[in-house]
Amino acid sequence: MNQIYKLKENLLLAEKDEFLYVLDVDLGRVHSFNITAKIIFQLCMEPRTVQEIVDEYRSYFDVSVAVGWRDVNAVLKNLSQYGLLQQDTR
Amino acid sequence: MTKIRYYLLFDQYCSLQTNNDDADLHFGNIYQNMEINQQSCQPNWSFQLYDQNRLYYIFINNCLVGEFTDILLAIWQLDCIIVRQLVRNGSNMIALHAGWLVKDDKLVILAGAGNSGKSTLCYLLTRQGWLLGSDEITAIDVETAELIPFPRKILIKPDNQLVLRYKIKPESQNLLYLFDGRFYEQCQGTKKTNMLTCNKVHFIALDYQPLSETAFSQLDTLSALQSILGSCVNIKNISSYLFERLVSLLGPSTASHVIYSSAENLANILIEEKLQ
Repeated sequence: MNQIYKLKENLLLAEKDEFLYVLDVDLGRVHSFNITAKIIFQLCMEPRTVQEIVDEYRSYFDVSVAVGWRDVNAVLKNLSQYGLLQQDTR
Repeated sequence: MTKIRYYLLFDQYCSLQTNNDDADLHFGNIYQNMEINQQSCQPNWSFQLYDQNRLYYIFINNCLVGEFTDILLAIWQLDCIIVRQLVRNGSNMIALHAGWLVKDDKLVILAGAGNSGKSTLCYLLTRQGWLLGSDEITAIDVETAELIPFPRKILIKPDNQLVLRYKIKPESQNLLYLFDGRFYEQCQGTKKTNMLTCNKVHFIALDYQPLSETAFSQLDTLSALQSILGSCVNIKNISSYLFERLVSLLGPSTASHVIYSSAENLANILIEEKLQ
């Protein structure tokens, strides 16, 4: 079974100067994401596996498979630590 | 004899009813900027303080919420209850722990924890022509981004240097002077203000540190958002519209953090430089 990731509910988003600002309404916390993290964050708006996120991410940034996995895993780890992700299996 | 006054507080119609003359005098005094003469519709909130043989009962919408043996304690509690009740139940607003003032088309929001000097700075700025929105609570309509004024009289604590400096005296209606030595000062209030139509907006996070030099630092958008929304009472009410507006508004050119020890020195810097 594959782990799938999706953003939790009750998040408000706003973009400015290439940054994405996210308000977690439940917790009252604000986060900001740079352009790399923003793309990965936005890919998590729909339920996806890590492999699907990496594939989409690589289509945006034209990076190697290794770099794609490294970036995606790093951002997913941060999003999980912030409590912004829901995880399920497919 | 029971007296009733009507107020518009945070856009909510309220009545305040009491059979205690002292309580009526006190609230009539500190809420005078927000009293309305005629009540054309049913109040959203009915606050009552009843004196029954020197026992004092507080009701909200006819539900008993407190019982006291001391009228000063009852008055102090009722003031806290009114603010807390309205702020928490304002369905269309968020409330920040911050003061705000306007002058011409300029808006300044002063955020800070308790005892960070919000009221003192508000008082000093009103002496320079700024109009008071509130010295304690910045309520923002989540649909329109309008700031909703709460121009209660400014509370000055007895150990505040302003008391001697400006020869502030207790008013006869201020019963809580007997409670904790507090003073209240009347300041000219402002109307609702839309932060998006102000020509200049300044958000200042106050950081009172005794013996420090006054030092400003710019806040990036994330830090400003964390500072402003970190003190928000009812953040669940916030709308996408308001969040987007706050993101677009807040940043290094509009938001700063200041360490200071002298409110008068800071007020002078604000008036002469930062709020120009």
